[in-house]
Amino acid sequence: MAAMIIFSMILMNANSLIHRNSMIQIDGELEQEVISLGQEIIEEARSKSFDQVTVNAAAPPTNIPGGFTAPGNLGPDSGETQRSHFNDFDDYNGFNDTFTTAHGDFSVSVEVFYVDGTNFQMISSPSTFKKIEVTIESEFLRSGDTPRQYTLEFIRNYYAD
Amino acid sequence: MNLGIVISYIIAGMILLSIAMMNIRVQNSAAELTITQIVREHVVTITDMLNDDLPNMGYDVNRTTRENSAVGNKILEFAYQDSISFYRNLTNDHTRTPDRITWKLIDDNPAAGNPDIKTLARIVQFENTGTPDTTRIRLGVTDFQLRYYSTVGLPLASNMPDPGTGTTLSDVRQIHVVLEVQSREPVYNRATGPGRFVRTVWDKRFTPTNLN
Repeated sequence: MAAMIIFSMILMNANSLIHRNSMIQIDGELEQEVISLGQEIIEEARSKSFDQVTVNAAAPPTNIPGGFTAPGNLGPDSGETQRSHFNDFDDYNGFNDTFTTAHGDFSVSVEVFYVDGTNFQMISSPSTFKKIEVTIESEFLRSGDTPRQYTLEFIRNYYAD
Repeated sequence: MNLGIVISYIIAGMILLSIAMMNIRVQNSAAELTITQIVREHVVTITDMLNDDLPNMGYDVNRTTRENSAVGNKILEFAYQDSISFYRNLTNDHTRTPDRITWKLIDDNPAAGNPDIKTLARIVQFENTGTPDTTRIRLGVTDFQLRYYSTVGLPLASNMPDPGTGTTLSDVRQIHVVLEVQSREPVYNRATGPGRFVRTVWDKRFTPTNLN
């Protein structure tokens, strides 16, 4: 009887170990996809103009940074209803989508805002620095019952394009 | 013989067998985890190269445009589903002729254990002349797929037909890469059976600055 109790405890520990190994494998595979998706969005946004006023502009704006899009208006401009219509960096602000991959569905949400050039904190007036934050979730990446959020960030400078 | 002793022996035997089975399962799980880590390291090694090459295509190529004209001007040489060739300057010396880089999958089954493994080749022709310098990547690649997009941000399924060497090469704005790597040796979940190969898939859509 005692032997069976001891063996049961060992068996439960072994099962727990195997379960943990499987979780590590799955988490690693999915996190790889998370990084790829995050980089994909950031690279794509970087390929666009810094601001709507600099899209195909013949000359730099006369008022920098005051002439850039107001912080409250960051996001898609009129007529830009799909990701493929975006033509500047901050059009990605408020972008939400579900990406279907070989590893399942990932929900992606993006935020773009102005940051201060010295401490890179969010500010409420235009500056020559914009920060993009891409947040990604998967139903299979969880901490308990809560989906884990992965955030990738990139700061872009108007002068360093 | 005493019935109690017989039953004790039977129970002891069953427990011993269970311990042995449990030991095999734990060992297999640990082996699978180790092999997964190895396969993932292989993926990282390959993607480090891709992450440097693809975004930098067209770097310091004279008149960095989407033109598909003479060597020295154009960026893409050809673009197929399993191979791509492009120009980039591998150095910071702007006086050099751009180097030509080709990535392609060669179906030569270099690994004895896994019949699906192929060779991924990165071929560099320095300054677009001389003998190609081929790096044969034999790290368990079983699939290398490329898809091309004429507009940035289109849905994944809206890729354009393979441009090949045609005029649509100049329309390419984004490149989606799917890379699958498998282990050379199988892992087993049971004591018998064929086992299975550990598989990992990496995919990413690149937006090379010089194509946009």
